[in-house]
Amino acid sequence: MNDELIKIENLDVNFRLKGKLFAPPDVISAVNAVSLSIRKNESFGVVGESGCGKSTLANAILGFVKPDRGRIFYKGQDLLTADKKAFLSLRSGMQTIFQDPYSSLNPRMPVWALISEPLYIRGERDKTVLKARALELLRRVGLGEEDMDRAAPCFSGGQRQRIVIARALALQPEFIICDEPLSALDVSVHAQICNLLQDLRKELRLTYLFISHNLAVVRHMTERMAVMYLGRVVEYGDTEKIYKNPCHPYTRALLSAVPEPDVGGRPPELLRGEVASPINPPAGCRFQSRCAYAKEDCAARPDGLFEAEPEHFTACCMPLLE
Amino acid sequence: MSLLEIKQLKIMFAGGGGKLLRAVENADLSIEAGESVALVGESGCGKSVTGFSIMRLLKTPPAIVRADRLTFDGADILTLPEPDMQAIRGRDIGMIFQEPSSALNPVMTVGKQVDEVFLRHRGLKQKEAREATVALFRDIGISAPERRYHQYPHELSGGMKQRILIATATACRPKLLIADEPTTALDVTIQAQILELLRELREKNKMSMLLITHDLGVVAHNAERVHVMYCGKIVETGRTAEVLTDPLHPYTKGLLRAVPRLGEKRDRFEQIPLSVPHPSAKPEGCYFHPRCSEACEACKKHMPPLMPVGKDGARAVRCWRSG
Repeated sequence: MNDELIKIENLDVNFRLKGKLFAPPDVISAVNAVSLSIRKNESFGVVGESGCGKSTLANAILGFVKPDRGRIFYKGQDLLTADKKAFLSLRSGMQTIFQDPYSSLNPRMPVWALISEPLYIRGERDKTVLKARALELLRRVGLGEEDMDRAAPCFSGGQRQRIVIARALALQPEFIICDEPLSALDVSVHAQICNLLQDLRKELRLTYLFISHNLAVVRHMTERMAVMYLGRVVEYGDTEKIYKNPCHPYTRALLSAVPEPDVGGRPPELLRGEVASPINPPAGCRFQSRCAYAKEDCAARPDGLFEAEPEHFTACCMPLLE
Repeated sequence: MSLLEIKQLKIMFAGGGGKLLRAVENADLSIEAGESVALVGESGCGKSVTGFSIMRLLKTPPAIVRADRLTFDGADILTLPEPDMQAIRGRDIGMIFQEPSSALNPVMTVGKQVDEVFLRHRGLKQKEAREATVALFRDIGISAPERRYHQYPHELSGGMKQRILIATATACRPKLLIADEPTTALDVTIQAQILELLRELREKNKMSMLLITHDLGVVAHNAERVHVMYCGKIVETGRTAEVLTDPLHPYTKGLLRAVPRLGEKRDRFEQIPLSVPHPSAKPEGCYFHPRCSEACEACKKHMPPLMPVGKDGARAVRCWRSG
């Protein structure tokens, strides 16, 4: 399809642990056989628990880690085989909003310099141009001229995240990876940041990769999504379809575990045990050790997704069969 | 008499330049035997220091703790001699924390750390303590307890470490467990397991719990009553079911509306404007008025008292507009 901004095919990212003498090194399979595509102007969600590979996936797209297998296309060009110059020019269209605005902003720099630093790095040296652009960006995210010369420690968490967002917009990117943008913030400012991200996406025609462990936020913030477990995508497709009709046992357990401020309601389906080790993970389905529906042949299941309904793919639909 | 009774608790910190930061202002809180009470609020609202003050874990100075009454099971926490307080800590009141990794000693096996509770409060011999610890691990759902006994914290997952801490805190079957954001650092499926474990323990040991959290979702199934705190003041209190279904204070309403829910998809969220003020810059009048859509003139000038709502005295709200 032409409207794909990012296309990932069969991506594997492994980390090798320091080997013992004469023994082969242990391999952490952080991302395994992941294929997905992100369409232009959509917000694409990735959910999963810690260690599921969602941040590694983002780092692979950004070029921070080198995949062992697979291809990543951005606007139809392969990022992994592109030469350095081509990569850098493609890469400037991608930016990141990090999780913790307390550690992603240099506390000694004034806000205008923080925001305009990407432009400075790209060769802009005229201070009046840098300041003018910084002010424009600052206003866009709901801060003002009086904030230009203050440093990050003067701001609350929500304001800091606005500064991080302004900096991410400095190079007029098309694609922004939001890596847990809310989880370091107080709950009363979540709504502010969600609304700001939604507004910016509409106004600037941005595409988001929205990574979160908060399933409620992902439902509201994304149109399509992938659920990851231990390096693999287990369910993929239209967000509303996945929430209305979750197929994979893991997705169902995840949705049921979210505590909601309702009285009454259903008790959560408890998952037994914990996430298995990503070092030499089990053959076949990686969720089998915690799955209530697991059968002997799960170890022999080929990985891969099948279509449960149009725009909705899953690796397993056992809960629906029983 | 309630198990825990707090009347007019004030906690202050001597800040730089002779400034006094008021972290908790005139808070009342009581917990009956076997009851679970939640203290909800955002970072800096004073909920954690309230928990610490019950354990008398605040360093004084810089902290200053004053109260008309602060009693646990009849004992006056404010004046109790330190040796008596040490006997209460860990035996009658247990506490678990948000970040299980930082609450465990990294250079000691987890088994030995739990042993300490038995050695100290039960006067067991080392060998007996070890047997008690392994039995406790088994009770609390720790797999392969004999092997875990000899492991160090870094060898365990976050959920497993939190189980170890719960084992430590409940080893002596305390009357009260203070759970300070017990699941905030954990993944949702593990969070559900830990909350289930706490429910089982409360039922089995008839234990009371003070649940400190920022998450109203966690409160829903885990506390009978809830106190909502904002900027050091309790702004609303009542039975959990009533507060969640019919919030009276604009802050509680805002929190419930502003938090994204799993249910129906929404395009925009109703937002609470601005952010929590710094404790040294609390506004005049009601602390919430600059962020409140219902604020009137009185709200800007006078702090409303915590006014009882209804007849049974379980419900109260600190707001001029919903009195």
